[in-house]
Amino acid sequence: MKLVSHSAEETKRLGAALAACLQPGDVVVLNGDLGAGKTQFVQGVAEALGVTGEVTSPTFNILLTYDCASGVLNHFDLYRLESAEDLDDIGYWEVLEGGGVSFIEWGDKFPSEMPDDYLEVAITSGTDGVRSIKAQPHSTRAQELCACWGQVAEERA
Amino acid sequence: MMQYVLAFDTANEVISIALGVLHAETRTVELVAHRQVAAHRASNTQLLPNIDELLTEQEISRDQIACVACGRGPGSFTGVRICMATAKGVASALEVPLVGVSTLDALAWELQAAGVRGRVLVVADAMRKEVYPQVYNITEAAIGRSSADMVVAASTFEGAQEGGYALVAGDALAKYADLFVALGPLAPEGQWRVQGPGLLAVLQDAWQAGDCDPFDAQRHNPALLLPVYTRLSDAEEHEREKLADAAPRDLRTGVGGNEAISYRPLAAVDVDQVAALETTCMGTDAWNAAQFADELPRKDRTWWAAHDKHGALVAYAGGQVLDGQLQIFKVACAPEARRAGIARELVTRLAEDARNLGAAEITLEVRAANEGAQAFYEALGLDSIGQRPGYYSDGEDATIMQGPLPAATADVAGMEIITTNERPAEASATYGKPLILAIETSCDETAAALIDGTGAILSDAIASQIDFHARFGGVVPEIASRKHIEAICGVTQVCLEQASASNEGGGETSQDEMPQSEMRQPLRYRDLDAIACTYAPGLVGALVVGVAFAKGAAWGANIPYIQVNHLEGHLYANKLATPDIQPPMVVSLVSGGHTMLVHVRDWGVYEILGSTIDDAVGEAFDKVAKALGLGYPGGPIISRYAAQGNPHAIDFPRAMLHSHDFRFSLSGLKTAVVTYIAQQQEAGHELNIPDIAASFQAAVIDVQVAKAKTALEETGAKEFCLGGGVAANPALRAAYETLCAEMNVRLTLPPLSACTDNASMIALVALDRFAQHKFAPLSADAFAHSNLEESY
Ligand SMILES: Nc1ncnc2c1ncn2[C@@H]1O[C@H](COP(=O)(O)OP(=O)(O)OP(=O)(O)O)[C@@H](O)[C@H]1O
Ligand SMILES: [Mg+2]
Repeated sequence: MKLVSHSAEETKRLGAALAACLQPGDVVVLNGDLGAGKTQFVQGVAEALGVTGEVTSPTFNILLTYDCASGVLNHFDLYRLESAEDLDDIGYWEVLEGGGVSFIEWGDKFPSEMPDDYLEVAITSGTDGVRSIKAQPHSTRAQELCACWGQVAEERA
Repeated sequence: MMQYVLAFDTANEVISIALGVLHAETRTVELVAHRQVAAHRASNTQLLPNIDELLTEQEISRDQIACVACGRGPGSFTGVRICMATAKGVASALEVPLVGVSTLDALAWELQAAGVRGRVLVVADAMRKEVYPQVYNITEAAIGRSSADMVVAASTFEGAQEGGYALVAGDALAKYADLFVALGPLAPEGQWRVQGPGLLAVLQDAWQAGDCDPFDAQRHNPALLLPVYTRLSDAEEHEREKLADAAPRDLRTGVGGNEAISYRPLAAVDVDQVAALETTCMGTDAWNAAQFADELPRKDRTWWAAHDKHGALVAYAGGQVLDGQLQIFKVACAPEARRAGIARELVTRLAEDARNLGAAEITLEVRAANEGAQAFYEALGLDSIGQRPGYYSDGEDATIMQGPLPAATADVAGMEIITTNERPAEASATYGKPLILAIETSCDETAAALIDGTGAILSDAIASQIDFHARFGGVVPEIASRKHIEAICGVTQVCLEQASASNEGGGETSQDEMPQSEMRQPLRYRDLDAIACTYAPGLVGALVVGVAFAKGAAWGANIPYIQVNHLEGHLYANKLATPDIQPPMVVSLVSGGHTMLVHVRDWGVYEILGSTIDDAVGEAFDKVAKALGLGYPGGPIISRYAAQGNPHAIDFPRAMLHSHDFRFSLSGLKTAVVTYIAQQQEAGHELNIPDIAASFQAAVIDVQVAKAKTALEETGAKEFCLGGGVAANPALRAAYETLCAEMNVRLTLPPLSACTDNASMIALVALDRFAQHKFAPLSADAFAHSNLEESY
């Protein structure tokens, strides 16, 4: 599935649309260059999930966790990690399998460390704030999630 | 007096605790009491309260504990880490041995006690659809473990082994029972996780076999125990194979930069150079290239090489880990590179690998006539223990040397410990109470500091991990909660030793406070009045190591535990530079993880005026440096280039400059710089790095300074302070100097060492909290977020 965003606000709205479809255990992997808008996207998700307080870049902390109405939102950023063994150090698998919804920035650094079922969202920067957003489901739950997202995004457009 | 062992394990979602009596004559461990409680990822909050309750219930006091045993896993990484950090704290404070036991073996012994016999399969959940399988052959006398711990895919496991087991047990059955049902009868749920008594059975078995001695504190130094790194060693292995057949990466990129010598695991491309140097150094006993090539892929080997700045190999060393010993095969250094500490560096790296592979000792042969080499090894703590007559091909005897792996204190798992004693000259020279040890593990560094009642920092130690990061070619630092586990005992130990040493030299210590004779003894946990630790905000997996260790040590020493907010530490750090600093003051905190303006109304009363809504300033520096192809960390590199560039060359956005509040936004600036770089490159222009760096830096500083100015105007504060790693930026410091001079405000720029994360600042906060009796319970935890405005 392909979407286009023309501004940071629109990217957040697309995140909010995806939020409407999320279920506990869902994993969304966000790929894209520095400044593509991965964190902006998660800010949109978090706001829609009712997270109060600022959702900031998790680059330094690697993992920031927020409580929200539907449970827990885990926001990973693998940017600073060098090797897969670091993932064990941060309790990566325990968190992913812990029942919350998880977003992973820079997941493509460790392709072999992705869970079995996840939705991959790739953001590519164009000129003047245009971003093309490509969603690629991996496995069945992600397909459902992706279909739902497309529908909600269209309804709200 | 009866001597007890306290054993516990939290590897598998439950907390199991056992207490036993140690009978030295028969080498038996007699069970006294045990309990198992559900942990549900909360073992850090439940473990110590349960231990405390169990001891109270049994009317056993702490000083009757002669040994601590803890489960090393395999199991949940967080669970094992909490168990081990707590155990290290307890054992260090009690000054008793810490023995590690296999969680799987403990379960097998419990099955044995329940009457299970025959071939038994134990499978523990390793997450991500993997399991830790272990086959036992359980008899009247033994559990008969069959192999080393490993991790395998749960689904492929079924076919990988033949069935017919007498029983299948372990917590993997909770998720994958259907995969194992064909292999044999499944144990009832009560037998999936360790209850407690099995931990003592493992200990007794090892004791009787001579593999451990619960009374030998030297052999079971708490610093040496590490978790079972099943999956991690796979990762390292993978890395090693990659290094062995690919051209070596430039490990120096971005790490330190201009060091002349670089160290990296020996790679296949190196073997010809190694063989050539070998001929020069080893004469008739030289190995050939094929022999070296054969060594590299072996799992139990560790080989390291040193290269000069032209990439030429100047030294190498290697050995094998066998039966808990590192046997060094070779240490060789080109004649022109000798006496530069290279051999020592290489041995340190071998030792670190060996520690990861479970070794505690080092052994090697050296030519009997080579006194220089023998002196070198003696300096590393090795002794000659005998001779091997005619060992070398020319008939010369070998001297066998042996000793502990190079001490964990001088060298914490291969990391350099940087210690400083900054006792301000004007501080009272007394060694007053309370004495508080403070620990900080909030992200990348393990640090500890000791403070006394006068506010003097007696010692401050940081295990600098930069060196470690260089190992696998890290351009960015690894996240190091694993390193925290390896470093925490060494760092705290160095801190205690350093404090007593610094007092020894003084001579001006007050006699009433503590007699001179007593001062010369190394400080011990029992001399302390409290132990403090950063509990938030930060990476929980890292924080939890410090918190569990600090609580364990506080419990062991029977003194209070104090929790400290990391950000409050940064505020207090200003006291290090300006002892008479007084609120109200405005503090700007700018680091890799934080960007905020805080109004300190009073110590303990804070108002966050505003903070970043997206990236932190330090993060923006790092990412811009990365986009420019410069190394890590970005702060110093950018500021170096910026000094030569034109800050007006490119008009980057000043986000939120006119937002009329104190919030910051850096992601737009980051994206603007990245976009600018891409456009320039597309147009085929060469990048003017100094101009880009200077213009970027100017955009950051303009906003920082403008908001600080407004904050000073609005609050009327006459003190302004800067904290966090970015506070080291010279241009930023200069801009604040100008601002504060104009506004007639006193500026405090903490010493650079106090700007970055350190434990001294945590100690300063802890001292105030001690006076206010703000102690935290044994159930206290670590948190990723915390609100500085709320008192805690
Ligand atoms: N259409 C758009 N969608 C998202 N962000 C946009 C868009 N147009 C401009 N922007 C800007 O791009 C920046 C994206 O930054 P953000 O930190 O979200 O990127 P990121 O992908 O998370 O980067 P990083 O790799 O550093 O984590 C923001 O400053 C945002 O305002
Ligand atoms: Mg981001």
